[in-house]
Amino acid sequence: MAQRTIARVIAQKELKKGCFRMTIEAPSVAKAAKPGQFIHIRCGDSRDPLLRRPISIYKINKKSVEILYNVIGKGTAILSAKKAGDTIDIIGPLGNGFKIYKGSKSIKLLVAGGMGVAPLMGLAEGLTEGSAGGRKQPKKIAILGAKTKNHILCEKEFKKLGIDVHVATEDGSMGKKCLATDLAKEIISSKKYKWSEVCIYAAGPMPMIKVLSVLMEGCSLESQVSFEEKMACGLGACLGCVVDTQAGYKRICKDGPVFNLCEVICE
Amino acid sequence: MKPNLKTKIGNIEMKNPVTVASGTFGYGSEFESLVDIKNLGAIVSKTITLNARVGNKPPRIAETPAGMLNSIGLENPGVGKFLAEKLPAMAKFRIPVIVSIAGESEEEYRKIAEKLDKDDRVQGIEINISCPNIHTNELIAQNETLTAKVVEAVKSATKKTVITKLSPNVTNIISIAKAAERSGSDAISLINTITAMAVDIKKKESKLGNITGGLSGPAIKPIALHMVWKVYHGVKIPIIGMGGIMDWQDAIEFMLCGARVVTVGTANFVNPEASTEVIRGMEDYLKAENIKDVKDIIGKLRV
Repeated sequence: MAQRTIARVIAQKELKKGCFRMTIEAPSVAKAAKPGQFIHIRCGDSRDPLLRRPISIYKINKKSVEILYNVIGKGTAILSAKKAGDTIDIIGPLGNGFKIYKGSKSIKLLVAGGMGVAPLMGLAEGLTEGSAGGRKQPKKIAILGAKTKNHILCEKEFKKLGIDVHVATEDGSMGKKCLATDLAKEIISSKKYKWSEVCIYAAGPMPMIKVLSVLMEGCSLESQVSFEEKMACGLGACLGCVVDTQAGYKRICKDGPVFNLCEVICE
Repeated sequence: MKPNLKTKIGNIEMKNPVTVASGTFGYGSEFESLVDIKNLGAIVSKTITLNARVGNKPPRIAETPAGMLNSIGLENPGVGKFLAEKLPAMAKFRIPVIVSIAGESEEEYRKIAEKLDKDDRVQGIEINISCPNIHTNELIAQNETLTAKVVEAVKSATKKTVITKLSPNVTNIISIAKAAERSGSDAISLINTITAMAVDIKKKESKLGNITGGLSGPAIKPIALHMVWKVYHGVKIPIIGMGGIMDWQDAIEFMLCGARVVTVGTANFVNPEASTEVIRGMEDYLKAENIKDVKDIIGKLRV
């Protein structure tokens, strides 16, 4: 059940210009949280900015959760000014989280566009947990795509988890000069894998998701994508954050933010 | 001595004059783990229509200075599914349930009212004639004659307490309020959202999929207060006031302007406990002012 917590900031660090990682002491949120869920954060005490900001949980630790975010407006600017010891009013964990399917597909492919790495990190940690014991483990590959090398995040973190990481930048300043989806196609074909053996976990811009859903048509049952949208309540009450799906409008805060890859209608 | 917070709207007995606004609280269950719903004076449902509505194209939300725009488009499962699936959850809080209804014609309003009239779990009906998001040529709430017809139609179909919710997007809100009163409305609630817009200059598009939306939140409070004040002097039936109430101080302002009951809406998104905090704050204020009964401050603005 979602709870409201007046939590405490343990640490905040600016990783790259305008990109911050905050660690929040919140044992009950950490205990309940699953990868893919988010927290709804009050930014400041004022009536402006008014609404909470929904931010993906990046990492789930024993007694804390971490968020990774860019400063893009009033709310995130206020968040970025918080220091260790400051309080932070959060509601969460919210949303449905990723499903980790065991045993069916032999290749787990994480595709992150820009800040899409944030919801996928907790998932990556969950995939690599309990990797011991007889049974053949799926191959784990991560494709990180962004505009430039300054926008590529968490490459080392994914590598540390034993994941095969590949980078694509639009300007070629790091990794391959192409889109994340082009790199994904290249890797799958160069290793002679079949798309039907792949389970995709993706987060990133709509055009990226659209390409992936076309690639995985007919074999996407386990593949999932995390979405975001402007939110008011964050609880499923106001119907403000809907996305169009094969089964009609669904709430990103409650029915999502994780949906089956081919469920969402990508315009 | 504990001040008396009990009040009454039509036949609805409320243990305090605080409710939550239609559209901001779903059907209650979404907020259950975050606020003590059973402490509210009443709960008002999301607007129900005769048949299910899919709602407007996203994006449906945009933040504005000290406020927000919404363009939900009355997405709802229709009255049948509401009665079967949503009302049971609302009823279990054991507080008065007011169902907000809307239709495309007075016949539709009448049909919904008829269905709700049979159900003991419903204590009141709030007629939504003022939602600015449906594509009609004129809002019912902008026309005295249409307003009167709809209220008459609903009153003819039910003995339950009928509340007419007014739109601020009008030239003369007193005349609309009087039309509702003449037609038998038991109470008036106001204000609904103000038609407004927000623009994305990068995309050169409206921030809302539906282009326009309804403005709510602290930014509209001064407008809402004025309209409550005006309508209080225009009708004799009780007034339910709303528009940007964030805390108990805001609520007291509305009561001094003439509201018998106050409603918390957008604030629920910011602080899920805003409504119950208003109740507590109101009680403390009355104690501090040595006022024995909350009804004693209604319309007591000194002029």
